[in-house]
Amino acid sequence: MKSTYKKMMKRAAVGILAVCCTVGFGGCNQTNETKDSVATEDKPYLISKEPLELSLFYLNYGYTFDEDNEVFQKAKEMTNISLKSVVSQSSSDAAQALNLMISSKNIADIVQYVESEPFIEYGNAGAFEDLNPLIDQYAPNIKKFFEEHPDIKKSAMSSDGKLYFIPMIADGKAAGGWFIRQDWLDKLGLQTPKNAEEFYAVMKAFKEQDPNGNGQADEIPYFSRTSEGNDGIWSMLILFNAYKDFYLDNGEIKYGPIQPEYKEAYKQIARWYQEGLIDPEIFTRGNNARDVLLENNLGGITHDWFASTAEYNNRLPETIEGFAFVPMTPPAGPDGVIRETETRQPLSGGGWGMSTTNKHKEETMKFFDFWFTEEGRRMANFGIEGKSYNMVDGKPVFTDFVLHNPELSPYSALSELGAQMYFGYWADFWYEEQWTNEIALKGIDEYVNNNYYTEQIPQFMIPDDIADTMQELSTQIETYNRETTQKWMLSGLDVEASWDDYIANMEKLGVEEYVKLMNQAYKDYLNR
Amino acid sequence: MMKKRNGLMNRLIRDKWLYIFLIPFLLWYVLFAYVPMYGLQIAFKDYNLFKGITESPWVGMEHFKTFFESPYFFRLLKNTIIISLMNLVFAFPLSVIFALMLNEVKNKWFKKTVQTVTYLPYFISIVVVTGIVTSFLAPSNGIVNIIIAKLGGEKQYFLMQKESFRWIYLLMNIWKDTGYNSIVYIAALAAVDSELYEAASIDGAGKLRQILHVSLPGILPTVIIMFILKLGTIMEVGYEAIILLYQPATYETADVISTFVYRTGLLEGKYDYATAVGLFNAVIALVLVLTVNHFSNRLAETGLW
Repeated sequence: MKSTYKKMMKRAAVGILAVCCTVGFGGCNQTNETKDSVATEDKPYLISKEPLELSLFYLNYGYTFDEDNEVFQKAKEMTNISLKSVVSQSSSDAAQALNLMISSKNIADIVQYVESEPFIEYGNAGAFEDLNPLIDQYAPNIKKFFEEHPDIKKSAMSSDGKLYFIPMIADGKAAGGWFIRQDWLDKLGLQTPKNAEEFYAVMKAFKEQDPNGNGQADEIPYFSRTSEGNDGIWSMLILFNAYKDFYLDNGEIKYGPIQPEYKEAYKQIARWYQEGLIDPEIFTRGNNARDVLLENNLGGITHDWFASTAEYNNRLPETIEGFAFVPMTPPAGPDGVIRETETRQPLSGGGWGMSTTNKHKEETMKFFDFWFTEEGRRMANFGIEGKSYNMVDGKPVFTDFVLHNPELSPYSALSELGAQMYFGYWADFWYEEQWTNEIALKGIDEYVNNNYYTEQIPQFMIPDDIADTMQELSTQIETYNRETTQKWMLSGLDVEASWDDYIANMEKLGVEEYVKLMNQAYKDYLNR
Repeated sequence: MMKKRNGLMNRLIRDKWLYIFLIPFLLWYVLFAYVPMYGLQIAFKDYNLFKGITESPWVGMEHFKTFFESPYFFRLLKNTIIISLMNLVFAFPLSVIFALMLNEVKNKWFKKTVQTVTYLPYFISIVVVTGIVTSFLAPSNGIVNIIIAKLGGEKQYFLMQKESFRWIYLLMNIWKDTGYNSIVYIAALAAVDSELYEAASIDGAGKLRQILHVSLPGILPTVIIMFILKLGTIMEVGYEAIILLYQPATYETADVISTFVYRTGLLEGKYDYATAVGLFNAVIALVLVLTVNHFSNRLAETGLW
């Protein structure tokens, strides 16, 4: 379904392209950070004396690269480097297009991809250049960035220390948080729940005391639009200090589903489900659960992304009197510690790299570096000065073209210009912050400033020789885990009584080896 | 000897146009059915797209071992075969019966309309079809449960019950495919000599007898061939529809080979493993087709060859 949606977006974008007009380019920034021999006084970012065209493979969730986009046109003016897309305009399946190109061995100078795996796999086979030496020679800004963020570089490197791509780096720590109907709490004279017991009491009150006032017990206290198997209830595990997957505990990686906390968590959650406090249809309601349950004044609590969830406060109060769906502090675990497990990881997936057949490695590396200069990063994030943003007190502030565009959402407006694309640059959370509503920002601030976040397992590449084994183990372990947990919830199968069997079966499926391999890979990463 | 060769030459020259028309189809088979067989070897290799087929190292039966040694292998095999067989036993005859029934409709307009209406679901995207199924079966306000409740029954969360899954899947496929699958039989029925019906009715055969003794034998070779072809795809239960409908609670009856392989994430990029699974499926299908074809030749005197 996601892909259809993206295709629609693409079509809409193409339609509007014609309306877009070109705008004079703003003046270049004065600071010259590259020790570049070609660069001149008035062209500090110049990379090549003669215009140079590099071929580019680019497909961002169905979007191909538009050579005329203003950001890259401006970059061309500044650097003398232009990019030529090799992907057919009608192409939308990135994996297929990439595989075709790789197997033809006729690889574009620059390859962009939204996942890291192909860079590692084909990099190891000799398709992509190891960028480490090139960065030292030609990319002072990237070098500086990696020196300041050594973890990000380590995360992007292959297990044998090669760097095959410059990652797209996300910014901002907050991802999702808890939301509750504050107006329901007020109506029933309740406080925001502080722990699992209070959470249960609030859900029960929502169910039984008719906060939506229609005389029926049709309220759905907890719901989630994440609905693949049991995923919708995963957010609740942390109320019991339990984890759905691997987590970091004092420098050691543990597997959540075999810990005693997991048993306690499911004992409670299964009971909550049986009592109707969790959406009975949580497994199949799907991605529009949030729309349906909030619009019909039925849903009480969820855990979801800040910005998009807070948006409902913009329009629903018109139809539902007093509607207030606000972020709440995560209820504390049994030990009184407040935890939030969902954060945004710096490595969003892929980025871009260069092929070994590229004949202009120096220029390509310098071009990669351009996007890590202050000016380049600003262009990649905010677009074109004077059109999409203006500098106010040293900060790029979006214009109405972005914030109040009659035809495009802020994000699409930026994409139109060629900003907020997907390639190797460092995102700036300030771009999102500017159109995130205040309710969400308040929640984000609370979560980030109080640092509710649990220690995250750093992102790292699992060495090839154990990756396949881990993949097999994880599939069979997860299959069994999901089956069992769903049975606990649905059939009221006694968690306590079946726990020993469950653990025995998990062991039979190789959970010990799975955890051991993961720890081994983690140690390898730490020693890298 | 000379005479025979002359005969062959003569025939070639006489039917030259037919042979020329045959060329594109032969080419198609060579290009798309025989040349790709060269690629089957990657089932035994650690295949890397960039290295290519010849450069990738051999790994022997590694991929097959991975597949067979999975603790879920037998469950997957069982589910795959049961779901396919249910389709064969219930859905397959239905399209034949549907064609026979439609053939008896004398009102042209009605016949065409029914044919078009039943034919349409085939073209609806599977994502939409499963969406319809999910909302029809929704426990709180799905139409099926509303009817059950009105009749005094208890509402059921069908998609979470492992006993229901295969039937839901079967009914969905029947609704989606019966009309489309019946086309070939409708075409075959059109070719049955109308004099046979006249002769039968003169002999006093009623409608039912005509169907049983004229229509059915008339399309029997088509039915048998379609049946054998269907057997050839018995191991290929598509993963899309199942992935969109199943739940961990129904894995026990719904998880098939293709969905499991899909979940391992090995379908993407891991062409070697996918090829190994495909090869295994193809071998089973080949054995089945050969066996059934053999018996069909002996018993019904029709077969693929």
